[in-house]
Amino acid sequence: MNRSRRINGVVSALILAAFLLFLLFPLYWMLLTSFKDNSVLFKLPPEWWPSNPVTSHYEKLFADKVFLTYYRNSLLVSFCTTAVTLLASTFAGYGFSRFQFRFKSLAMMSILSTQMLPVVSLLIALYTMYNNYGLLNNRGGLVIALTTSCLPFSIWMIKVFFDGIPIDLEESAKIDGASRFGILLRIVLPLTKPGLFSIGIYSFILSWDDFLYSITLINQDALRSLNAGIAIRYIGELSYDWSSIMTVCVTSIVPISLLFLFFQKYMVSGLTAGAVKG
Amino acid sequence: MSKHWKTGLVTLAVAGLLTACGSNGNNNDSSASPAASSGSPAADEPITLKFASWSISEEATKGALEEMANQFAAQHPNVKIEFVGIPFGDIKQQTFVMASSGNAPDIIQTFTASFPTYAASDIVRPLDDLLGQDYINDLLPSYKEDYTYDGKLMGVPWAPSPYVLYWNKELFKKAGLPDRAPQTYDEMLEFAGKISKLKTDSGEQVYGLGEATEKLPINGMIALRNIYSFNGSVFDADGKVNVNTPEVIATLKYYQDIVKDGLSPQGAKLKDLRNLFSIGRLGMYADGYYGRKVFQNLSGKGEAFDSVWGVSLIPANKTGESVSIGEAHGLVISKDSKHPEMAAEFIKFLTDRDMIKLYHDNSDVMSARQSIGVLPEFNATDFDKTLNDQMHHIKALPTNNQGLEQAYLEIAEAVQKVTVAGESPEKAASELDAKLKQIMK
Amino acid sequence: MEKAVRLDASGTGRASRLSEKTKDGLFLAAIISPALLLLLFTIGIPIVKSLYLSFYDVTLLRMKSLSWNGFANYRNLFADGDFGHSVAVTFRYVFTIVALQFVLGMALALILNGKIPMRRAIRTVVLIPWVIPTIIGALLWMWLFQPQYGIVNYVLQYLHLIDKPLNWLSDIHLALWAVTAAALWKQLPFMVTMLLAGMQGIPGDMYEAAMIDGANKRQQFWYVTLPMLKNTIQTVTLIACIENFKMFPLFWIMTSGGPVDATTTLSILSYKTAFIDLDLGKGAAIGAIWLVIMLLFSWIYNRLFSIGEGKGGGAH
Repeated sequence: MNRSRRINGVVSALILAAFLLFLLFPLYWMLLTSFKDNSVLFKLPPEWWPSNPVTSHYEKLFADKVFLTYYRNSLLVSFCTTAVTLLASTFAGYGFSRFQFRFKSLAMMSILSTQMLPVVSLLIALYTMYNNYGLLNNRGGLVIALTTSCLPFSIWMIKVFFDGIPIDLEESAKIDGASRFGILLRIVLPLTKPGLFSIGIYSFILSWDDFLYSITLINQDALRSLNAGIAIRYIGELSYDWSSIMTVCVTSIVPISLLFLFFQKYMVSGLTAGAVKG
Repeated sequence: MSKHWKTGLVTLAVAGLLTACGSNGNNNDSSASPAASSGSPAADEPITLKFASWSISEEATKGALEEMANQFAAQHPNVKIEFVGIPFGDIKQQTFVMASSGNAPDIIQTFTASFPTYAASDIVRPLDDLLGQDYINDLLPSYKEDYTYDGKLMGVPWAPSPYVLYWNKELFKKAGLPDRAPQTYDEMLEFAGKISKLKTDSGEQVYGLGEATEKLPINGMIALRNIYSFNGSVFDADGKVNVNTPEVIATLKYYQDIVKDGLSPQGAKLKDLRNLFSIGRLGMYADGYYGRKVFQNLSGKGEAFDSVWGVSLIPANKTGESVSIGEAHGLVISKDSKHPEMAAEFIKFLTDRDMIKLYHDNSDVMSARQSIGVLPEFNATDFDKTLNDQMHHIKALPTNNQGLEQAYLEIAEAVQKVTVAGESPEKAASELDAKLKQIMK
Repeated sequence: MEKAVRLDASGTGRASRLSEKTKDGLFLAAIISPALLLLLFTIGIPIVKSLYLSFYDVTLLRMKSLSWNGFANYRNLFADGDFGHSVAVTFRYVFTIVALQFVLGMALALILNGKIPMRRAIRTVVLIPWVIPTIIGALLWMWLFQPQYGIVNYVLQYLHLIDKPLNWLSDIHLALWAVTAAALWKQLPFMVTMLLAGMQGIPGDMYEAAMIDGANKRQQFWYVTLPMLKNTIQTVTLIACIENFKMFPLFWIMTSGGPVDATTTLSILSYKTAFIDLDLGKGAAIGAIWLVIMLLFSWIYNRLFSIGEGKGGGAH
């Protein structure tokens, strides 16, 4: 018994190591590449640790001030999207959880179905509308577009979460004469904090990941977001300048990873709570 | 109570964030500006020209293009050039999307493989009246033809780039080959075979001859260079589509063999070939003018690498003389442009002696204008001379047709069928024939 | 919002049965409408427009001239084999990536839910690939899979697992797997975290009860963990299915749908149809059929899960 448990432990340690290798090695390789000079980059066998690390790729990158603008735009847009998504999806999710109405499942299905088509096939119609409403080259417009791509799953996840909160509390508050909004804001929402965290993180990452919306709806350098900026500078016509590409990749993920490490306490518990209920 | 406070704060913060997003993004003025009448450009009328391009964003060319725009603005104080940077891979789709709501930039950068789609569309305008016959007649005939649709010049070949053969002198030496480029395809294949036997110091494979076979329209276009060299064509003597010919089959066989025999890497993009060439793992490949700067950077050796490689005309094959195709970054003027005259003026400025010289010094760009190509500054080095020489050994691409870009992609796919999927050249050619007959009506 | 509150407050005075119901209705409308309006505005209208376009003969070359052509776009679509092929590739990809993600995600979540050293740190670092934008992930994996100087080929050769470099992204049999690996890398962390979260929500006494009944670890997994995770599993796998069904950037950057057609999924095909074959109408028709497939898929999916519910519930 004891021995088989030890074998189990060793096996699961090995499996865990394999997982970590798969998930983390590419990141290490990215980081390493960004510190290699082109003269050693393509050498085989490769250098597992740079014999002569160079920072020239970083210097070149940061000499181009526009990248700081891209970061700022991306952060701003992602935060705004998260905030709007949280607001709209909490309300809608509460409605779907607490009220029975005709065509409810049809409505829910329609909401989900808006996420089923890829953005590429909607580009022309989307652009035409944005043009008509003067929302092009406007970060607010981009926030609206990204919000709608986050909303359906967020509504669904938060609805599942609300479903798990007993309704008794709300009923007793109602008897005490609290208004419906009062109940939602003061009684239900505080209980939902972990759920809000999980959809917040979900929407933040989704909007941080966006490429097609931002490249279509925004074409001024000063308003561009990071992914579009990376594509335009580094997935170009002429060559794969791998060390420069990896450098910009590293710098683009460091701030957001730090943010996540900072929030990790909330995150794990947030995701924990958000996913389970129901 | 404190909960209530927090909710209020969050709401406030959200509202604040939203206004921040909105107010900073209010930059839509230029498209909303009142439509100016499209008369001749008055001297002091303020004009904004939107110029959609990928080169203005790429590191290698950004500086040169900004300089050009500045010089133009210095000469035309009332004109502002507004760059719209769009990635190379997205520019066609994005500019068509913009045009769908009458919002297209005044000038759009394109390249030869995408150009047919612009030319056949209703989003660009003919340039004959704007540029004048003198300008147009100055263009090299094959480039003029490549940028003509339905008898009208629809775009300007801005930065022309004939495909020439790059060869690595060090690898030639190491393989015991003469210190010169091959003169014929047979010789090229023989050299490539010897180079492919080499290994790098750490025992990695070296390729003799690289051909781009990734599934992209441009690689189908590049395949035409080989089809032409095998004395083939997309059309038969009567001008009808016919690729089920011995020449096309021989070309596909050539692709199949060089990949099968390990002379060429499989499924490479031109970008991959440039990388391999820079690190001494590719003996020969055909490319445009872009090579030098890319090699300097990727080899990690800078200008010292310039002496490692040589450049020569594409070797002769069945036609008995060097045949290549001419790629070019082109410029088109969109039909929606409010200031087509000024846009044409800007294009003329960009393709003028001074600006092409600037671009040449920066990136080895040549000129498609005969009067400029002969100038001494464009014939100073062997590299220049070879590029210029090759520009006179170019066969025009198929006549522009609305299905041409799709046809290029189908050709690339046929090449993939023989190199990757192991299909026989005969079968691939007959399938391609059926497809092209359907597409190029 | 403020207005609705006031409406609500003024209503409390004369609370009749009917007005209570009206108030509920108003409140519901007030809280649901922002989300619905947003969705209708940026996604709803474009989808409807796109469906409308699918009945017209319209090309990218002349976008403003539409002519009605009934079901011709749909007929053309089914007439050539490309559509069927893309559907097959898409389903193969979606099935593979979601199955892999789910099985591996479950395994990793089980390990991380156990007592292991540095559990919290590990749980955090495995999340990092998730925050990496897809286009960056695509570039990174192209670099790793590069056939001539990529690290994957080097390591595999060094370990003598392969004897010559593989063309990961340009081999007709490997390309889809290579893209799947990149997708897995990016998506696995989300799956793991959600499943792990679900596991932590399972009350400990359920396991105790199972142990008293003499269930071993494996039985506990099948009869406690899995049924309790049903909702989580349904949510995350459906999200994964939909997200991967419409995956575009990964394929576009890594393979452009090649070699030949080995990685031409529906999203690549609809892009190619609209922007290279220049046939917007046919591209829209692909979208329409796609939507039908997805709705059908989700419906079946939900049905399957409700059937599973009865079974899972019966286990204890």
